[in-house]
Amino acid sequence: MRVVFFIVVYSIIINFFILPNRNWWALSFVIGRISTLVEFSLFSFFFFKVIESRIFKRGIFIVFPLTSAYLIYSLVTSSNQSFGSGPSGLTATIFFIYCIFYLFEKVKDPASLFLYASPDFWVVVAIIIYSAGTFFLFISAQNNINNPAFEHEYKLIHSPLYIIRNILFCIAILIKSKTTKPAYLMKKR
Amino acid sequence: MMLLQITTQSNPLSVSSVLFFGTMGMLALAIGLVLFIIFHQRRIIRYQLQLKEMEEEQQKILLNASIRWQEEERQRIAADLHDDAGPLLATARLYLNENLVKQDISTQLQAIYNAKQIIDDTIQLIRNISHSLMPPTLKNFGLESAVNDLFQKISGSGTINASSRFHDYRQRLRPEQELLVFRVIQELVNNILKHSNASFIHVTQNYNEDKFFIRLHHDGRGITQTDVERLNKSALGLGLKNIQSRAKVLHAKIDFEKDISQTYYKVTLEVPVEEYEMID
Repeated sequence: MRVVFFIVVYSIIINFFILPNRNWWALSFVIGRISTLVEFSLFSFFFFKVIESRIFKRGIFIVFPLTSAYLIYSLVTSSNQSFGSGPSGLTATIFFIYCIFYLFEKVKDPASLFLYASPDFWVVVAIIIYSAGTFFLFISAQNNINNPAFEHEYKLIHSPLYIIRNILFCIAILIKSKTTKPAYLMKKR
Repeated sequence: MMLLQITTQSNPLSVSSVLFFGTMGMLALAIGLVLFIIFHQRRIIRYQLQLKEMEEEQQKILLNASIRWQEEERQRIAADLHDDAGPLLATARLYLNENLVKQDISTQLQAIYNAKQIIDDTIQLIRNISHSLMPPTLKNFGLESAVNDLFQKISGSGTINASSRFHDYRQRLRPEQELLVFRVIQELVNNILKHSNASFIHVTQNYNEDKFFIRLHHDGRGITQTDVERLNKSALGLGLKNIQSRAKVLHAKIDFEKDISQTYYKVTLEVPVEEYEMID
């Protein structure tokens, strides 16, 4: 949950202190790309912690450096005035796959009942909703961000999803982690 | 992803619709997935609760059966004491009343002799009651001897051929386990004698992969697992419920089935022994 807390704090800093500042406005796309990298690293770490499958953890080990390398490459080589659709779309797809795998793992495990009492579940719900909702937005942003109509739509879609994501994160932080295994499933010895 | 970028680049008018339908579709997919997981979990919880309720119901039936059995056993002991030991002791008392001192010596001797006979009978009766509560052979020599002893007595009656064979009983079960296994065998044999009209009963014991097996064969009218499940739901079959509650205490599995040859009925009691210490 510390990871999620850090992301929420990071979001607050970016949205309340850096982006409203006109001096930083020119660097908003660079900040966006850095945010993508930071979020990707933190969420990858989060999924590495919550997913139990060893094979999938190995997969994260392989995917993480490759994607990070691409994100850094994109950060270094791309123009400061363009939106990073490629990195954003790629990370959204990866998060979507991680989320589906997490949910699939929980469905398979008969012991993980009362899933919604677990903070991890709410974090995953936040990530999946945000990734799914912003996927098309980020992909089409690179070519259309300078179009005022698109910018309006971008804000209209992105802002509520961003708020929803952070609210769900807050719910996750506030939920006390309980055992997901009901007492009657505990092995009697 | 690239294809989508090219499409939106070549036709800016369709950006809004692509964005709208794409976002809506993805959101619907994500929310649908989450809702599916939640409802699936709820269904599993409901199913687990149903299972728990069924298990509790079964426990209640077994507990009731056990209480009823205890009450019947108490009534039997009370009846034995009241109907047999009571009159015997009352008769002995009659022989030894205060008028005895006024009688002649030969009458006195005869009365004392009769009273002694009656007291001996009473002692034997009480010993029998005590043995039915806890067989001394089981306590002193173990399950193998107690089962052999029981089967010899049954065979001795001449109505049925009863035999037992313990293949691997170098290590004894714990005394409380032995008693439970013995009671299960007793109850099974009792049922066979009462209901099956069998001409033989054969018991074998084996020990395999940390499991202690007792198999009981007979050639009479038997029951299978389906009959046991049916009887479990009804008020009948008190003995069977007792067998099952004892098996539960032992963490054992009990199976009622017809032999592959379809000639014999077979009951298998499988007791896991890895959880328990065995005594040499």
